Amino acid sequence: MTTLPIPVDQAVGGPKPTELDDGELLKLFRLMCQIRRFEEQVVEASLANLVPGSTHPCIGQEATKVGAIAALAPDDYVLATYRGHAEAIAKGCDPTAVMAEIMCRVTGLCSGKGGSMHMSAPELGLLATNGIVAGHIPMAGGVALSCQFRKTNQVVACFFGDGASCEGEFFETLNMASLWKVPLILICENNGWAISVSTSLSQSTPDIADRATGFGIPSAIVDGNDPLQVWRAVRNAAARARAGRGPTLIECKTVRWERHSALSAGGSDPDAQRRAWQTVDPLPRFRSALLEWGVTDEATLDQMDEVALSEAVSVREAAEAAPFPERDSIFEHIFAPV
Amino acid sequence: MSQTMLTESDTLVELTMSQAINRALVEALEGAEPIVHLGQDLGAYGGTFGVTRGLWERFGPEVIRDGPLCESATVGFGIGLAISGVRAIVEIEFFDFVGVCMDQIYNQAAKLHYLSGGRLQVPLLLRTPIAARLGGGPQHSQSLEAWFMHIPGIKIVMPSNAQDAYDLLRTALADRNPVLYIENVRLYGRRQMVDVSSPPRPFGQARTARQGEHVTVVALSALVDEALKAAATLAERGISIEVIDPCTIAPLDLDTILDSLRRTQHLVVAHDGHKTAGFGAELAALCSEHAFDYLDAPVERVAALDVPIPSGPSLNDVYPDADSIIRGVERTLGLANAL
Amino acid sequence: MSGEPVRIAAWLVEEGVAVSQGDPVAELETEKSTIELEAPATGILRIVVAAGVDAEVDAVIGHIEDGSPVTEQSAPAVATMIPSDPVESAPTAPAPPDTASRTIVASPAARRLATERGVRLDTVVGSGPGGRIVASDIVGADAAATDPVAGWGLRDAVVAGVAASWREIPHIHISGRLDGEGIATARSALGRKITVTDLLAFSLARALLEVPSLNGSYGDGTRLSTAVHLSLAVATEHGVAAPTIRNAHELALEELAAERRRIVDAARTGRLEKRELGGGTATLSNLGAYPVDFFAPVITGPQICLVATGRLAPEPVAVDGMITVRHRIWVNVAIDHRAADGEAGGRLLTSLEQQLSNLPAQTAPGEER
Repeated sequence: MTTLPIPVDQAVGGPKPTELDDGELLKLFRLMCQIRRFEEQVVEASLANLVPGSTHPCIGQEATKVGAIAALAPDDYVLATYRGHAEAIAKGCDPTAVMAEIMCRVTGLCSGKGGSMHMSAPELGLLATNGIVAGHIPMAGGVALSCQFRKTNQVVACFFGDGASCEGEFFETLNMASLWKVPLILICENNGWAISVSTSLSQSTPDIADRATGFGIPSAIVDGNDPLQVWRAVRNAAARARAGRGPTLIECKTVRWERHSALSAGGSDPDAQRRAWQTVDPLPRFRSALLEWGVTDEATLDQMDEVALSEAVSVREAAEAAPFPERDSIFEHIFAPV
Repeated sequence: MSQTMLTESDTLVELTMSQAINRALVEALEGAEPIVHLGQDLGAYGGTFGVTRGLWERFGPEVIRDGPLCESATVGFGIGLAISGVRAIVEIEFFDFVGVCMDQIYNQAAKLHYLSGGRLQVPLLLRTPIAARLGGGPQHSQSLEAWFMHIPGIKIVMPSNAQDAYDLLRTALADRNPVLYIENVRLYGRRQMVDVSSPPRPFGQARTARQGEHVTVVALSALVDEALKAAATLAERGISIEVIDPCTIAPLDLDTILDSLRRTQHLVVAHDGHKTAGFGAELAALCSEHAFDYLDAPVERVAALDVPIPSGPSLNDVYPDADSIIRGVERTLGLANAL
Repeated sequence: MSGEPVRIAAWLVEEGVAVSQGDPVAELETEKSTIELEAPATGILRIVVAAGVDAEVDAVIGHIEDGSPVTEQSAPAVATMIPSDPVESAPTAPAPPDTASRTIVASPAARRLATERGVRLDTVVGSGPGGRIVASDIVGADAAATDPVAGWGLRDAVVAGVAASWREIPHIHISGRLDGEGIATARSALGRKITVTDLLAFSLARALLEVPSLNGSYGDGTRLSTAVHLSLAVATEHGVAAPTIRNAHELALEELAAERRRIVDAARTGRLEKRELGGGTATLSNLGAYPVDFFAPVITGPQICLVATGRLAPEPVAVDGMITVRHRIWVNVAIDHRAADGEAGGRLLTSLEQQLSNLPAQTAPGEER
């Protein structure tokens, strides 16, 4: 059995995909660059003490988020974890608003009330990112039930990590979602770590996808660092869900960045971990594939990255300049108006 | 299902508290807003205590939805429904079971509106009964409202009679926020003439169940009736107590309680929850804060003893009743022997 | 009021010698004991009545010449056993009681009402648990006039009170002839301004702490107090008044004596405030200045007991099989039998006798407690 994800220098692009045209493929790459450069700025901001509390960049895991969300319809719902900046951006949130929220400014996505871990843009379908591991998984099930009940054509993608797959609420949701055949796509990013505990210490089976079998849910294991593999798996799952055939569990094998959060190492050897994720870095890998397929040239890709970088810096500066919420805002939004 | 109803007028109907709850649910489910009721044993069984009798037959299994025994995911599903356009009602079969789904209630439902900067709304109603005095033992007997009073972002309703149950449930089902609606198995059968045309009743409005001069007694849920019994007995001795039913403890109508306290200068609080860190403790602190100069004696708390509730009926005196309220009144008036 | 004659046992200072106010100048003897007379002013002593001679009460026995109009020194009024000191008996405002050393326990509502109505908390006796002052105590205190009324109209109140007590309280009387040697010893050691009444009050207040069932009131239900507020029966021209010494159990002997002087004087001159008449937890009535051995009093309702004492007199007693002379004193404890039994009276007599025997040790000069 192949160890996933495949290292960059061993990755073969395969035949050029037919489901997506060049423009769509470039869009995937641009989005991955954008997110990579954005998260790097988040790390800088955190090291500069501009980010209250913890923040969790998804550096090295961009392909999963981008590939998955690209396979959804614009009005499909997404719920994600506290490592959810990419989901917000991929779903169409303004990066400046996301960065401002990370810095808890009043111009942030949630008016500075939520911070890095709590993004929400319901009008774009990003309902919530959540600070409690697995806390959002049953909620995602409920959103899927809502789609079914209202007889819309929407599906719900729920992102979570290997750590969450050990929580009781995950299993309860598998059972209920399968029982009621709700249009739910469970996307597990297995990056090998839950803070400092590697999956070798926490998982009873090597593949999380196996858990779905016990609940009659079909599953797939994909190379999470290949956006197209993820895209295909999610597209299939969405089709199943829209056809009323219920949930799917997709395990995306990936490798975590060298730290759990911007500030917390959560692992024994950051250097070894850095080498590990860089070996399978999805960006250079997808870049090679695009070149191989003749989608574009190096200069274009370089320029995309430069633009992404300069935009990310501007976003950060704009967010930094934004004001904090007024003190009275502490008492706002405890309750919605009756 | 058969019901005996004495109809005095078009709008006055004799209902048990259970029937009043059922009626309010029916009215909401008949409305235009999509609603789903999750739980266990709700459907064909009609609810463990019969409260949802007839709803499943009338509204179908998609609306009255029995599901697996997993309170955590059930409440989570309820939250998911609520934040995406479907009002959700979740029954937690015994109040004691809230521990299982605690994170979903206090960390998720209560906070999503706040941490999304107001972008998400959570119209989630949690229905659960206090199952005290049924001999159910320590894990099936608790009244845990104090836990939730501690959490900003959740409203708490505790009706003591059928009229309030009906009025306040209607209000809860129009509220766009998480509401914990605490029923009481002991009160389900309590009959009353209910005015079903009554106007909407806002939360945070206490009811003075009986006027009095000497002592203010604030009582929750089933203890309102016990307080009224105590009032009748005390009246024969020339002691007049004012009984106040808060109806909702979050929001709490503190003004009505303080007005009464300023007149009587004595306060007794009665609840089925344990004494330590219970509702009475919070009320005592609030009165000390806002009406210190009107206290002629310390606030007396009449509550369940601080022990795990035993199962046997002979030990039922762990719970308060009319007699313990009378003793509380005597203590606050200094009628007991001073030494 | 009549009293027994006084004999000048000795002049301690010679005629024509300068003395300062407060210096002991003479020793006077009554049938009960010897007292020391202090100079009421600074100046030159002029003797009028020689040593070894009896003087009638109110007769002048000497002068202090201080250059101002002659101040007369009168024989002491027997009942109080101290010289009637002109400086002292000039009307003075009662000194405010020292409250700094005592915490007043009152409910917040009572405090608010007291402030609103101008009632002094240290003049109110609490009826709440542990003696806490509660709102109804303030309302009751306020109902009484806060300024003294000349002549009071108290006579009617006294009559009504006595009649009610006689009618409603089932009295029992528990009496004993207690050893009074302690009183005699202490008195001769202390002399000066300490009277037998002071010593009895001091001891009784402490004895009552040991018999709490007799320290309080019986209204509808028994209300006992952990503090002793001792009323003293004082004969006045309007009848017997019973002003109260608050917290008598905590007062040092000198403080108690000073307070006793103040309220007795106020009672006699019609300056008692009505609220000083109430709030007592027990009463002491001492008729020992007269040839009274024993008497059965009427309890001051709603108090539970009244302790009546007769004269302190030396008499022959048997001790260890030998005849000797010891001072003895009749003490009668009148008890409201609804509230307590004779046994409690017996215990009080036991405690009181113990306290009396402790007096010399407790009240040794320099160690007054």
